[in-house]
Amino acid sequence: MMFRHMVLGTNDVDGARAFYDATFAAIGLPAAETDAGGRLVYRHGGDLFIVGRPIDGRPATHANGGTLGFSAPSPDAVRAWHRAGLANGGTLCEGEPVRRVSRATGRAAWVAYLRDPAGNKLCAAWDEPEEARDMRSGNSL
Amino acid sequence: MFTHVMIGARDLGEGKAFYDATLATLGWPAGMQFRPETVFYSHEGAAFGVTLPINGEAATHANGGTIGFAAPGKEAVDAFHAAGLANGGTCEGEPGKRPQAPGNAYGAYLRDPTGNKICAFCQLPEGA
Repeated sequence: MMFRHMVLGTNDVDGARAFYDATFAAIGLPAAETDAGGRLVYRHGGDLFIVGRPIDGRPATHANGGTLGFSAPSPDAVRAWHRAGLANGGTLCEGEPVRRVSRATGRAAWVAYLRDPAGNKLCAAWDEPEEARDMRSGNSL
Repeated sequence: MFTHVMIGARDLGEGKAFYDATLATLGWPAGMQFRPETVFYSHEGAAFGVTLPINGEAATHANGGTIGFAAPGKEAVDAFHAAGLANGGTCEGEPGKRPQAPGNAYGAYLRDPTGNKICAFCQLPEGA
């Protein structure tokens, strides 16, 4: 666990809760707890993801060039995450869920992208096991 | 929970210099040029990318967003902060105890050269 936590901003905590509770349910993550500051706290294993109003009191804004990727347990979960996001205030980004092979690593993955209601760019990904790729290509280990 | 985190850089060389220096203090190897516009860091299953935005527009930081890196101890948090300041970053919170965080947390905050907010945290021993 080399990331300790991630925080994203929102201007509408209830809207963010609906979006993240629904999308996380699709990839097997629990619903939000709320901390003393009214922020949404999602925990899984040792990881911590927080959504809240910016502490400087100014509106939340999304980055350009930034993406936060979440791990999904299967290709179906990647697709369910995408559908849940679109049904809960998210917007389409980078098209529909797709299987693609990284040109850099040769690893295949199912990926889907969304923007959350505040415009933060998100990804859900499922990495294909190495064995599956080897079987399909006819290579032996 | 996280597969990867990507942040935008206004200048890739500047971003690589900053993250090579700061992440080295946390035990991460130097970044690899993954694509012409992206440098990737990988450490113990975590992946972190620094990229020129693919839409061709300027990189911008979020408001309300923070990326938190895990540090092995207090000295690493201090070194992370010092390396950031020496490589184009700005202080967003001096190294120190963070009583609002769970446990006996010790952390430091930086803005990278593009303005992205990052931090490093560790847990101090009980009573420290």
